[in-house]
Formats: sequence, structure tokens, C-alpha cells
Amino acid sequence: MKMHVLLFLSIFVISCTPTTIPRVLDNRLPQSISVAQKQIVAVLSGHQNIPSTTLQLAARATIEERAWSRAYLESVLHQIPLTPISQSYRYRNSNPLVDLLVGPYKGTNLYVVLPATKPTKDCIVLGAHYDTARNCPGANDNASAIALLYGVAQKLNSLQQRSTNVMFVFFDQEEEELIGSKAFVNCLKEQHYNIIAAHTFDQIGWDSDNDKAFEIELPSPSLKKQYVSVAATHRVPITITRVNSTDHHSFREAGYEAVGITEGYVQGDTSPYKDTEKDIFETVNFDYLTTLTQLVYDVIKNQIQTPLSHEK
Amino acid sequence: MKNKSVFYFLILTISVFAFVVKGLVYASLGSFIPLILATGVFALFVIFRTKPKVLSRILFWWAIGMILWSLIRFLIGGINNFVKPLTENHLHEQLGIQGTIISLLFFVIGILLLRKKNRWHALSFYYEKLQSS
Repeated sequence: MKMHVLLFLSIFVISCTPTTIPRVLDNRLPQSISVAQKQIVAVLSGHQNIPSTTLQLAARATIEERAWSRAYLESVLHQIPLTPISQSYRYRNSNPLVDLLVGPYKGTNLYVVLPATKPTKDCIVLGAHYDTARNCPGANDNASAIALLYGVAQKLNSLQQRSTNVMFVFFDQEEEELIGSKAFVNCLKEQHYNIIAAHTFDQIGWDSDNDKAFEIELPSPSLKKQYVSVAATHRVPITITRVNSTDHHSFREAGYEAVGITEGYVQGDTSPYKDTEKDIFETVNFDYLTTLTQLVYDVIKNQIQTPLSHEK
Repeated sequence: MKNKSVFYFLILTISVFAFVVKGLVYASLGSFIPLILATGVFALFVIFRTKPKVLSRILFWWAIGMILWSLIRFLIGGINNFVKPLTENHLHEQLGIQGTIISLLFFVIGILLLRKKNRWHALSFYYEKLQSS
């Protein structure tokens, strides 16, 4: 019997091996936003080592890959400088019978709040997922959108006046039934912010015909008006679509105003390498990313000067 | 015989409580089916604790359940690793090396609980104790 007990105990110990939390110690991004964006996409897609390590990310799918991606993103946010907050969660499977077989989803979202320059509870959420499909470097899906958020955050941070808080969120597990954003929406309900709108970004790095066209998905009327107006001033074609398969869905389902922003996904000018090993750094159109960064910045700048909640 | 019987009840307790804990975790996440199932099985053991034949039947079906649970996990893990990788990274993580060890553990528990000789030794020991107290 002693042998049996020893066997069971050793199996239990092996099953509970602890994991270490990675840290990126020295990450200095270039001053130029567009150069920094290139570096962010390069590191996240494994084109470059993670700073201060010899590690290259082959994907951002496994627990370890996602932990390293978060460590790197934390170091990126410290550069702005903003203090990132981790939101670890567990989430049930979509089918209760699967609950019987395996454990719940476990993941961690990362977010920061760029505070308004005067006290207010109003807040705009800008989000992009950082995970990828298995064995996919995810340069376009979705390191490009992470880089866009970094650019927008840097630009907004340099504004003298901000009437609204802006929350930047990097979602985990979008590739697995939007679990990260669903968990984040639950967390958001417990916070004291008055969420004016949520903008989520997915695949912002493909523009084969260089027309700079982009799509907005299921926008509320006021968000649609904002994007159409700013796109017109930039002379950029915009298409409104009804695509519902990414993180903005979680916000809309919870009753928030939301919109998704992406490349020409429905129009057909979209990366053919989605969720494959070929979604690499070299396929990202950085001119397009720069254009959309400026455009999104203008939309958000307009919003934080004339918040949507005041327009209702 | 005493040691074997104690071991039998030890692994039975581990198997039931593992599912009760799983049920509690899921209940805290708003999913109640695992908890209903685990507490249901636990309740059956308590209700029929004085009826050896019924208790033996419950033990039999609980052991079959353990074996099926492990085999389904082995099957999904095997397909994922050797036939076609699952798109769900979550399942891939859960049915990796650690998940396979857990499946193996519960498969062995299921086999030990299922063996008729083990069951009757343990039940005889239990009823002897019950009567002497």
C-alpha cells in the first residue's frame, strides 16, 4: 500500500509543477512611433529576439508564449510611461459537457488607463488581442493592432487636455471564442468607469492595393459618424460591415457601444496568411499601419474632446 | 485485507472529491452541471451506504464513469497529438503531458475500483466495521 500511496503522491507532485513568471528587463523603444511600431511587430512575431533575452516568439498561443508576450507588452507600456495592470481570469467552457472533461479557460488580459486631465468617470476602451493561433507568428493577426494601440497611446499621452480616460487593453484568448474580452467585460462591470465606447482592432497590416481602405464592423450610429467623418478628411475609403466574430462582440453583448476596426476583410484585401505559419513580419504593410494609427488617433482625439455620452 | 480496503476507500474518496472540487470551481464560474453530477454521486454513496448490493452497483458505475472519462480524454489528446491538431489551444494545453498523467491516474483508479474482488473485499471490511461499531 505504501508503494501505491507513493506513486499517487509523486504523480500529484509532477502534475503541480510551478511555472516561473518571465520579465523583460531592458526594453528601450525608438522615439519615432513608426519605428517603434515596427520593433513591436518584429518582437511579437518572432522576427527579433525579446529584448534582454535570446528568446524568439514562434507564436503567442501556449501558456509560456503568452506569458512572454505579456512580459514584453508590459515593458512596452512602461515606455509610454503607463503602469500596466494584469487581469487574470478563469472562464467556463461554452459547452457544459466539456466542463466535465477539462478544466476552465485560464488567461490574463493586460490593461492600462491613460487618465483624463481632469477628474471624470467617462472612459473609452481601445482593445486588441495579443494571442495567436497555434504555430502562427501573428504579425498581422494581431501584432499589427497592438502596434497601432501603442502609437495611439503615445500620441494621446502627449495631448495637453484629455476630457476622458482612455483604457488600452490587450486581450488574451481571442482565438478561442473571445474568452479574454468576455472576461474583461465582466471585470469592467465591477469598475467605477462610465464606458462611453469600446473600439477593438484586429488585423491592421494588410493593404495589397495601397488604397488605405479599412472596414468598421457593426458600429453604433455615433461611432459610424465619427469614423466616416475622419476617414473623409484623410481621403481614405471606409466600408461598414456586419462582421461579428471578434472582440467588439463581447462589449456589444454586454450593452456597451462598440465598433471593430480592421483591414479590407470583407472587401477581400486581407492577409491570406491568417492563422498560418506565413503570417510573418515581412507581410505587414507599415505605411498602412501608420495611416490607420493617425486616423484612429484623430477619431479618439475628437471623442475625448466631445465625448459621445454628451451627444446622446 | 485491511490495508487493501483502506486503500480502496482512499482512492474512492480521491476520485469523488476531485470531481466535487471541479464542480465547486465551475459553480464559481456560473456552470453548475459538474457540481450537480459530483454531489449527486456523493449523495448516492451516502444514501445507500447500508445496502451492500446497491452500493456495489453504484461503485461499478462510478468506476465505469472514471474509465470512460479517461478514455475520452485519451482519445481527444491522441487525435490532437497524432492525427489532427485541435484548433483549440485550451484543449491542447489541458490534454498535454500533465493532462495525460491525470487521465492515466483516473484510468488506474477506475480499474482498481471496478475489480470485483477489490469491491467485495472493501465492502465486506466496511460492513464488518459498521456492525462491530
